[in-house]
Amino acid sequence: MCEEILKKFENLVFTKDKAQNLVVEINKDDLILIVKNLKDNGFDMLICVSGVDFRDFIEIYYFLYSTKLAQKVILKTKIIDEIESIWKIFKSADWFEREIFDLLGVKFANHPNLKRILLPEDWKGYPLRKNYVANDIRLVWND
Amino acid sequence: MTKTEMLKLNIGPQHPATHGVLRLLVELEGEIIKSCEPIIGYLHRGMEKIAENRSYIQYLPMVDRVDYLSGFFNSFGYCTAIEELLDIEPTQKANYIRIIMMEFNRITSHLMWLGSMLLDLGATSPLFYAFRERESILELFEEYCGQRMMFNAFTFGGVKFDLTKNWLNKAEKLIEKMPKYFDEYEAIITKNPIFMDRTLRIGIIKKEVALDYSITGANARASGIDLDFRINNKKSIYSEFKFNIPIKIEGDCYARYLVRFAEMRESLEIIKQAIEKYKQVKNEPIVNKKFNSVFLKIPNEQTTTYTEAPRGLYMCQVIADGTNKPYRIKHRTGSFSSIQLLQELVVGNTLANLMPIIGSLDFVLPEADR
Repeated sequence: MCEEILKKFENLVFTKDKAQNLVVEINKDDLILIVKNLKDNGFDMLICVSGVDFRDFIEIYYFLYSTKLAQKVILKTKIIDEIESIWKIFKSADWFEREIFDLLGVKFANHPNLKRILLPEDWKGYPLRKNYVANDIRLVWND
Repeated sequence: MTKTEMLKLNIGPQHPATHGVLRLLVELEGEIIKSCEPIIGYLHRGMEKIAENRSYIQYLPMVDRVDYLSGFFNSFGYCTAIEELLDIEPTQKANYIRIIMMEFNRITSHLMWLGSMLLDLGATSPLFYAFRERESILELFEEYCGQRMMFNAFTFGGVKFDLTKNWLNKAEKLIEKMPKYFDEYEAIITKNPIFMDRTLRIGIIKKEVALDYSITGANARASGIDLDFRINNKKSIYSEFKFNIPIKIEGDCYARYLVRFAEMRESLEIIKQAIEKYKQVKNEPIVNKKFNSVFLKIPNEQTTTYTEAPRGLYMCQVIADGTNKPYRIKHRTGSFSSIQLLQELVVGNTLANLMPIIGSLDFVLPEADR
C-alpha cells in the first residue's frame, strides 16, 4: 500500500526493521511532499517523531499510522542539524519537534514556537547528543 | 463604552487538580478562556539519557517509572522490543501472566483516574470507593512481585515470578466481586445529574482534531476512532482473546468517562480468559532463556514496539549498536499528546470547565516529561 503511494518519488530505500515494520529512507528535501502525500492517502496519524545522534549526522524518524488500514510506516531521513517542520500537516508535530530541538538541538525551519519544552529555558547544550558533557550545576544535589 | 481587559492567570505547577506538576498559563476574558499554554518539564528525569549509560538489564527497573501508575505496560513494551532484537519468544505461560498483570494494572489505573477526576469535580466519596478496590488489586501485585507500583516483574523472554495457587484463588474471588463494585460506582455516578451537567457536551474532541493531535487510547475511542493496539498490531498476544472495544462518537467528557468505564469491565473478561488459559499451560517454564546480564549484547539493529497503555499508545523505540548498552531509547507516551491538545480544547470554555476537561483526558505528568 505504502509502496504504491510513494511510487512517484525517486531515491527511496525500502527496508524492514526487526519488527517487520516498513522503514522508508527519504531525502530531507522531499519530506513535506511525501508526508502530505501519505496523509492524503490514508496515513492520517503522526504517532511520533524521534531523533538519533549518530555523531556524523542526525537521523530523524517519523512514525505514521493509518487508522483505516491499520498500517504503520516509518520515514527516516539523514540531516546535519536543520530540517523543515511538518507542523502545518500534523499539528501534533509541534511538540514532538520542540522536544527534539530541546534534547538534540535540531532546528526545525518554519516552526511557530521553537523553544525548550522539557528542560529549563536557560539550559546549555543538548543532552541527547553523544558529545554532551553533563556538568550543569543543577545536576549536583548531594554535594 | 466598557473596556475589557485580559486577565492572565497562572495555574499550577503545584495545583492538586493537575495530576502531577503541570503549569497552565491561561488568559481569561471574564470567565471565558481565550488562550491556554501548557508548560511541562517539571518532572523531567532524563529517562532517555539514563538509558545510554546503563546495560539493558540495569535499565529494566527504570522503565516502570516512566508512568508509575501503569508500570507493567512500559516494561512490557521495553521487554518485547528487546525480545524482538534478540529473536526470542516469551513462553506462552509468561504471556498469560503478562496479560493478567497488565489488565489488572489497567483497572487500577482507570480507578485512580475515576477517583481523581471526580475529586476534581468536587465529589469526594467516589475516591474512597475507587481506592477500596484499587487497594485489593495492589495487594495482589504486592503478593506477586513484592511491589505495589513499580513492579520490575517482567524480564526478557518471560516474567520473573510464577503465580501461586493461593494467588489465583484470591484473584478469581476478586474478579467475581468486581462487577458488583462497578455497578456501585455506576449507581452513584453515571446518571448523577450534577455529574452529567458538568461533563455532557463539554470538551468535545472532534474526530479530525483527535487525529491531527495524534490522540490515542480511550480518548480517541471516545471520539469515534477505532484504534486499539491490542488488536491493530500485526502480532499481538491478545489475538486469542475475545473482548469488545467500547467506542463512542460524542467525544465529550461524558463519553470518555463511559468508554473508560466499559474498558474496565472488558479487562475483567480478559483476565478471566487468561486465568483459564494459564491453567492449561501450568507446567511450562516462566522464562524462555536466562541471560547473563553483564554480557547481554544486542546486535546492531533497531525496532519499535507499540503497546496499548491505559493513557494511550506507548511506543518504545530501541536502537542497539552491538554493545551491552542501548544506543538510543525513545519513549512515546499518550499523555504528551493529550496535554498538547489542551491548548486548543479549553479555548472558549469557562474556567470552571477546565477541571472536568483535564480530569477526563486522564494524563499523568511523569509520563509526559519522562
